[in-house]
Amino acid sequence: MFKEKIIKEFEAIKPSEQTENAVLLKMEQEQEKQISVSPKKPAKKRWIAAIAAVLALVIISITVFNMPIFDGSNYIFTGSKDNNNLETSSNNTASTDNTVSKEDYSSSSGETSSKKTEQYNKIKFPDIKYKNGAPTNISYTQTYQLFEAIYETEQQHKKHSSSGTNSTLGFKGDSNSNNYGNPSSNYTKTNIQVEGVDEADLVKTNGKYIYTCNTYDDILIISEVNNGKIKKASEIELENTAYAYRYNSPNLEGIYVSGNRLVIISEYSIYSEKTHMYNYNVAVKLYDVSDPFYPVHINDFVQSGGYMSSRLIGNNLYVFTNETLYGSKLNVMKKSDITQYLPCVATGDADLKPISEKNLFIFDGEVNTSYFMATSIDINAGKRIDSKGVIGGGDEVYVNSTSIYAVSGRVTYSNNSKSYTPKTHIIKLTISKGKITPLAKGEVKGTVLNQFSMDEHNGYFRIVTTVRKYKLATCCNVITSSGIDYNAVYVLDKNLKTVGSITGIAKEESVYSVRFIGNMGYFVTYRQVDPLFAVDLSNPKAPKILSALKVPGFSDYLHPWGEDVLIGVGSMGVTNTLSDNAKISIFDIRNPADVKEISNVEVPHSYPRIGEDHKAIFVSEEKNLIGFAGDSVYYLYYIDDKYGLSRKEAFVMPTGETNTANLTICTRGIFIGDYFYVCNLNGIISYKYSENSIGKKINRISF
Amino acid sequence: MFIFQTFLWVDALQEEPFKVDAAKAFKTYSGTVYRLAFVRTGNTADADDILSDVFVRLIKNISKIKSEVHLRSWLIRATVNQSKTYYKKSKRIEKVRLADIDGAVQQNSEENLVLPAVMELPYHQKTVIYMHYFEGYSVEEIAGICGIAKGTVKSRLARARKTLKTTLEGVIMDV
Repeated sequence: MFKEKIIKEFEAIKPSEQTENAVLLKMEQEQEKQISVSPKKPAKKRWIAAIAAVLALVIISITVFNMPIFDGSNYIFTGSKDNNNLETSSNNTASTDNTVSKEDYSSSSGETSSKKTEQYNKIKFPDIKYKNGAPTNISYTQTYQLFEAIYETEQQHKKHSSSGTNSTLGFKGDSNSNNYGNPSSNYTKTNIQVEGVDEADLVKTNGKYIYTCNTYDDILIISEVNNGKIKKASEIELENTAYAYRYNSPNLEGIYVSGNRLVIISEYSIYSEKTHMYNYNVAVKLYDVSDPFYPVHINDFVQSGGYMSSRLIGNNLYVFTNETLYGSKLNVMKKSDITQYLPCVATGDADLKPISEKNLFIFDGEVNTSYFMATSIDINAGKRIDSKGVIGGGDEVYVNSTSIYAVSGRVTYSNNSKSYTPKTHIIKLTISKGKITPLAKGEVKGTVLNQFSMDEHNGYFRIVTTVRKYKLATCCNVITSSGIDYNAVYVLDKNLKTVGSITGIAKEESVYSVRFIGNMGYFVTYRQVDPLFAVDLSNPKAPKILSALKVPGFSDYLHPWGEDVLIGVGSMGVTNTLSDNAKISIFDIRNPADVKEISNVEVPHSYPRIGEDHKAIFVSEEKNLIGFAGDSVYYLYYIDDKYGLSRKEAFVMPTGETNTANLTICTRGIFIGDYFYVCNLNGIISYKYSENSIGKKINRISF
Repeated sequence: MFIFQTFLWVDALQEEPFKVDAAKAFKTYSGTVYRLAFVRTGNTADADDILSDVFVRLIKNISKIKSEVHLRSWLIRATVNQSKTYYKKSKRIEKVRLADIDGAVQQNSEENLVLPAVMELPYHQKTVIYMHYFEGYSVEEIAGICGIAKGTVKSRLARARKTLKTTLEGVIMDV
């Protein structure tokens, strides 16, 4: 009935005739514009194809005579003659590797799996010598075999189980990562999680130029700024860049600006006829902006997978992607389709090629048909330094100057209770001058919220998760949530072994924000009332909750301010819809056993979930300001000596035809000296800021 | 493999390339694009804008579309992208919402029961509910089109259904 109602009610939603006519007219106008523009596709593709056809005929006739040079397997799997041995089960010393005895496929209570073993016996898992908690190299052949074996097992499991659902699921944690805010410098830097580890953003500045991303049209605009005066210097339109003809609808994800280097991160998709799905790749475009009026393209660094995140540490850019292989792909994929299931890289115009087998790893207990890839690029030298692929791992990262922690959601299925328990796999990789080394794997219950759910301190890794059990619905192949939700804090040592934990926190609520500060961890859970928990982590083996402060509403983002106070940016939580306003709270954390909210303010005409994007929040301890964009103005709130909050400014934001884009969370406020620039894809407006009077508008540029 | 790639090229040369009839595409898919845009933004003005943006973009990228299936996926993906972090917040939404829905609905004599409840959901959840129940896409297809993990789609569906179950309690029993 639900389905029928939905269909009936939605069917009645249609564009008006007026709208339809308007759109058809715009389409015609665009069509005429397209005809007058010459095609971009290089003509050389045609004669290359012709030559290839001739070569094909030559090659066919040669292979008919069986010449060894063109033996397919040697071409792909260079060097290793022993590959073929992996495919025969008789050579395996551990015959159990060929059966599904991995924990995720059998019941947790230890019910004998001999019957199941028989059924699954025919599926060949590759013989990988796993090391407990440590990485093992995996070859291309083994990767293919593993993915196909997992897929085959899922298919068989579907047939054999009455409910007919998958027993393996990988899913992201809820999302939608020590000097905080602005170290004293002349201009505003991105609000990042870890000092010295820069994060990509939509707006960057070096004090002389402001770089703004238009993610709607995928254009980067560089503007020269000087004491409030703004002048457009140049722009880079992704669709018109080098090698653009190979990119299908590039998406501008974010940028970095460092010295005379500009890094543009873009994601693009390639449609596969075979699987009817999109393959995603990330192209890192490197430019020399010694003269920002004339950016010079240096090179492109491409890697396969969807863009997950990136970091810039010194001159080394780390780019993280992940790729999941679905049934429709695994069904049609052949071993020879190596670019479909292996992490690949390319530079410039070259074709994507899988990374070397010595850079491909797997950890024990991995059952996801996916991979995580981390690459490093020296942006000054313009060279890729390292690429590492890990089978299975990676939806969210925490990165500091020495380590990468990549976490991903896993689910274990219990046949007995027919329930799914989500877990988080953690993979630790160490980094040193661009060299990336997988080190260890750990596991905790539950899922993380975002990068701020994790932290490393004195070699210990701390992580906050929300644990939610899922049960199978009696029909319709859908998983529904049931059982008790709770939250947990875990502390792991440098080899990712859990040494301490607190579980069962705030039942029936989930984590909304987390911040670790040295030996303390603070996090907010929410359902109707918002407890702010203060956890003492000074003894890694015995974390302790010191206090739980309840206030209405919740915080999506927590920011340390000086030594004594924590700022929360979140929602008033009145209606729990987008009609609510944002809220700024100040918590006194001098005595962690007695945390108090000392002030708060409701921000009118604002977006209640602005705190979900930490980069959208502006904080300056130097100027005693906190700010973010509202619906149409950029707010700056002043924090006085007694930690009282008062509204200081409501600067008009650049608006324009592309109001329709996600204006509020894409808008950034930047100080350069005493001038404040409000920037987004529509333009930049500058204001002269003064402590004792209202800021004055100086200049405006529209893009 | 070099040999197979060559063969694919040769095949492509011989096949007749797929050509999109823009007007026909609009007639067939304008409803889908509009509804999805409306679901994600919650108001007709934005849905109108997105409808226009998506089809103008189609004209720009028309040569890249390889088949009918590709066209449908492309349009949905473009709609999802254009309305990606689209949200429209303002107090006026609460008052206007029901009126807006009635305005959007061209002809429906019966009372809208499910629609307001679905529109209240967070936009990620709204999207998957719409694509799964109305458009009939499987979890896998939604994951592929939207570029998210299968498990993410499942958990969003589950959460949405849990919320709807509460919101529609007494009205619809079998959510």
